[in-house]
Amino acid sequence: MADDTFAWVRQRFAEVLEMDPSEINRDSRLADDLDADSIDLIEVVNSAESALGVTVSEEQLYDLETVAQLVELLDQLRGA
Amino acid sequence: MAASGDAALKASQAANFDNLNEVVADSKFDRHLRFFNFGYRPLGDDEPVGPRLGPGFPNQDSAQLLFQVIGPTDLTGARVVEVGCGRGGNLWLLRRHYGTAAVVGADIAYKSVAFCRRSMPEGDAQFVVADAERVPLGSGIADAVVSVETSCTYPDIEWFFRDVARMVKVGGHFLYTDLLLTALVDPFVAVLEQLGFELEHRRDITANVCASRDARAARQKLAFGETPDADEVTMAEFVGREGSRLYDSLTDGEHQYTILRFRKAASVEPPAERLLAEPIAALVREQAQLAVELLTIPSR
Repeated sequence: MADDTFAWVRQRFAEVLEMDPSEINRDSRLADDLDADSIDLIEVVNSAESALGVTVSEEQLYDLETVAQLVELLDQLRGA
Repeated sequence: MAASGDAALKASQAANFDNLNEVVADSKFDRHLRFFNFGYRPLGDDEPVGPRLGPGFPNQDSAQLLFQVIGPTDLTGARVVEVGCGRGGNLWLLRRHYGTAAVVGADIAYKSVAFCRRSMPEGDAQFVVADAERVPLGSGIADAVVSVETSCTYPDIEWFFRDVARMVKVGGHFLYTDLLLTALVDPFVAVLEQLGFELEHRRDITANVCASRDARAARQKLAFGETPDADEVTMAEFVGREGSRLYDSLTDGEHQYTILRFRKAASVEPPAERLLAEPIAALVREQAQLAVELLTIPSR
């Protein structure tokens, strides 16, 4: 998992969820730990698509459970 | 035959949902917004039923409403028709999680059908622009017909019920839920029974739907994006926000959000005469007129 992708995802989640970035780690579960819902996740993914130049399909997005899974997915899509 | 005002009412209904599609198209959530219904939220110790969805799936409560309506019905290898499919969320879930062989969506709003065609281009999914009271699909083609929170907008609903009975094979299913005037539920069941259906399951889920609106309406409104001030009242109706007329109907005691699950037991030649008594038919028309009025976006 590329550290820069994780840092980017953590920062963006922190902004969307109005949390301190230090409260977000790789193993954070989106719903149970961060209380993020689909609207939050779509906000982050939309930003990622613009910032990182990737396209996340609906199927890929809807199955995500953790921050780490999103980071791995973005890295895959970037060819990292 | 249909009452003379029904065509205008249906045209307004189609325009309302085409307009809503335009509102959504301007939103960053457009491609993810597949549901326009009020959803279902388990209460107390009840657990969600059906497939488990990741937290990224939008409109979890709408998915749960579908799963509650399907219940134990086995749709593996089935051809499922949804009348009033909107933006196709239910059929998207059926294809992904229930092993259906084919799905067909029918909706009166052209822009909803266009969205469905874009988002489900696969060969096992077909979509048609259609009047729910004159569905242009063959007889006996469906193992199941699904109808979720749409029939309250049909001004002459008996024709919809007759079409459902015509499309469903003997042994097939009609999986139906809606927010209806309570006085209409028993007459609707009676009509469907006269058309060859057996009622297998009936449940009042008004409290569950109300809980979904309490929990999600304000949040869901965000997914519609920015709307002009003049549209705020209507958008509150679309999402069932507290204070809207449609939210109030969940608590006024005169309406009931009901799940009705039928199995087609026999093929019945539909009678020439009307099955719904005129006073009931008049209530149906009033209900549809109110729905159109509440969901009309004034600035479009």
